[in-house]
Formats: sequence, structure tokens, C-alpha cells
Amino acid sequence: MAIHPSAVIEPGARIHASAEIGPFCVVGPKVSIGPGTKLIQSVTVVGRTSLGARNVVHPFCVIGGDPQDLKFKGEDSTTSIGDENVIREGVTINKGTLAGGGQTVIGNRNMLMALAHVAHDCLIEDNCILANACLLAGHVRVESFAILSGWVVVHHFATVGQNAFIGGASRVNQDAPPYMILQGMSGEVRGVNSIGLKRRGIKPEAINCLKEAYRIIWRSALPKPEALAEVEKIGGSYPEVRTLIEFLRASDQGHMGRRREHRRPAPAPSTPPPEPEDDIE
Amino acid sequence: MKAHATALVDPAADIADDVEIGPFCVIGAGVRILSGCRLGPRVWVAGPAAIGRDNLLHANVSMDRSAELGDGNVLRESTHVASGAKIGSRNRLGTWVTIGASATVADDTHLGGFVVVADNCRIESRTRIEGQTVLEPGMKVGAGARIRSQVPVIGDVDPSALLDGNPAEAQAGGAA
Repeated sequence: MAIHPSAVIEPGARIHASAEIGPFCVVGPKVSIGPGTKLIQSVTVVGRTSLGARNVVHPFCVIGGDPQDLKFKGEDSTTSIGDENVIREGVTINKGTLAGGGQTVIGNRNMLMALAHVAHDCLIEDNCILANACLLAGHVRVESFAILSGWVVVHHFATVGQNAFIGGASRVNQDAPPYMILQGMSGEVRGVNSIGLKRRGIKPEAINCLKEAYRIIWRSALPKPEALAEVEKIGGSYPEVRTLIEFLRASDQGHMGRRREHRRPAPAPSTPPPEPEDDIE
Repeated sequence: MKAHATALVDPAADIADDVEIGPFCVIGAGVRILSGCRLGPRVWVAGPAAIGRDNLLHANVSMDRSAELGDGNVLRESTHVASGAKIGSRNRLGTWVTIGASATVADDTHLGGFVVVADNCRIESRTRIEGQTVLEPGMKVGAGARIRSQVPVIGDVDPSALLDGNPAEAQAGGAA
């Protein structure tokens, strides 16, 4: 175990023998750090936080800090980070809240670039990229292989679908459909992420069918349910198209275009005046 | 004062007995910190500066000389308060917020992550400013206003207004 003598490791922290902790790091008492994970320097890991194997955490990151949420009352919630993630300089990852499920989860092989922020109760699946200064509000889910460009903000309870590409400085106020490119202050769908899909080895016929689905759903005058029925007719045999249809139907069943809104806790009736709806990150 | 062994606290700093100071903090001469405050790892406060009661300064927060902080504020990770800035009480500042030189923030405001409040801005009470919004120097934001995320603020904002878009536009109905 290579721990720099200037690092502060509180008693109780579990650090694997092959992990490396650089100078001026602070590791709290309920933290576990897996094999081969490296904290380069000046990294703070606090709370009930686990980092898996072979992660690299760059300077000035704060992982497992308290949520920025008025409903948080000091509960002992968790942050769990899988394997082989790259977490660049100044990234902040908050732990969960009791009302939101109590855990913030980051999967495997994700790249969080400098200054990205992951709020309480977020779920990031695998192989995602969050570019510089990306801002996820609370309860956000980012599905596998999604790419969020620099300076993107995601509204709380929104879902970013798998293989979606969000253009720079966009706002994602509603669920971002899978396989699509979104761009703009209201996160408008602009087309199919065909380059990303090609790189992922999705069949050209399926990509063409997604392009046709895009035209029917977002570029025709058909009402959404009829458009989805039409897309199902022409492309229901492709798993990607089925995934897109199911995603859009689930989002429509949510509130304000966000399927995870049902996770929003009901306001407690006994506490006038009402608290603000949620953090604004 | 409960300072971690690795913290550097100037002997000329006036710090209450129950204040907690985390590892690798640097506190300059002439800094006054009242009771109930907690400073996370690597917080920098240059002297002279006045910090009131029950403030929570998370990791990597930095405050320049002559900055003032009232009571019960929360400053999240890596937030920076420039010289001469005055922050009132019960404010919540997100991660990587910048409060410019001589800017004032009144009470009970919420500032999201990456918000930039440039020099000499005045933010009145109960305003809510969402993430990545930028206020140009000298702007005034009226009490109870709300500004959505990523909005470039290049003019004064009326009390109770709701501001959105790029370029910024006041929205019908206001912040209520």
C-alpha cells in the first residue's frame, strides 16, 4: 500500500494493499478503496463511500460530500463508484439522501472530466463521458455510453438515454432520448447520433431505421402516440428502435417529460411553510 | 479551536473555541471566526477577514482578504470569495461559485454550481440563481428574483422577476 506520509487517513478507512494515496489527500473513516485505485494528490474522500478497482482520481476532487439538498438531515447515505473510472481535477460527487433512495451510484469505465458535478442520488451507468464542468442536479440517471459535452446542465429527475449525445452548453430539462443528439437551451432533439452508434457497432440498417424514427417522431406533424405506433410498425424488429419507443413512452407517463419524477418525495403536510422544491445545484 | 495537526493557523487569528478546522487549511493573520463554524480540508482564508457563526465551508473553499461572511452560510466545494466581498446570512452557495471583489450577497439566497457573480454585483435577499449563470460586473438582482441556469445576466434584475434564456428575458408571471 503506497500512502504518502502527508496524507490524512482516518482510522476505520479500508484501503486495499495495492491502492495508491498521494500527498495531502484526506480519506474519511467509512471509506473503502479497492485494488489499484489511485488518488493522485489533494483528493478528499469522505462519507460512506466505496471506490472499486483501478479508478484514477485527480487533484482537488471531493467524493462523498454531503448533498446540496434542504431535505438532507445528516443521514448516513452512501456513494458507490465501480471500477476503472477516470475522475479528473475538481470533480464533486455528493452522497445520496434518504428521501431519494440513499445512494449515489457511478458504474464502471466512466470518464468525468475536470469540474464535473454529480449531485445526490444520481445514477451513472457504464462507459459514460461527462465533459468539463458538466452539472448533474439531484436524482439524475445517465444511461450507458451517453456523452455529455462541456458545460451541460441536467435538470433534477431527468434521464439521459443510452448512447445519447448532448451538445455543449445545452440544458437538459426533460428526459433525453437514447441514440439521439440534443442541443440547445431547451435540449432540442437535433438528429441521430449516427457516428456514436457506428462506433458502437450498431448495424447500419438499425441506424437508418432510427433516422426514419427521428423524422417521424420529431419532424412530422403526427401526434406522439401515433408517431410511436408508426415507428413501431416500421422498426419494431430492431432492439434499438424498441428501446427508443419504450423510453419515450415511459417519459410521457412521467411528469413534465421526466420519468423519474415519481421519485420526488411528496411534501410533508405538517411543515408550513413549504420547503423549496429541491436543490438547484 | 479544534484545528487538525496539518492546518496552518496564524497566531494572530481570532478563532472561537468550538470551531473545527480541517487538514491542510491555511488561516491568515487577522481572521476572526465565531463559534459553530466548520472548515473542511484545504480551506484558505486570507487575513483580515470576518466569519460569523455556524458557517460551513467545504473542501477547497478560498476567501481573499477583507471578505466577510455572516451567520449560517454553506459554501460548497472550491467556491471562491474575492477580496472585499460581503455575504450575509443563511446563504447556500454551490460548488465552484465565484463571488467577485466587493460584491454583496444579502440573506437567504441560493446560488447553484459554477455561478459567477462578478465584481461589485449586488444580490438582494431570497434570490435563487441556478447553475452556470453568469452575472456581469456591477449587476443588481432584486429581492426574491429567480434566474434559471446558464443565463448571461447583462442588466439589472427586478425584484421577484424570473429570468431565462440567452439573451436573458424576463418571463411572464415572475418568480412566484
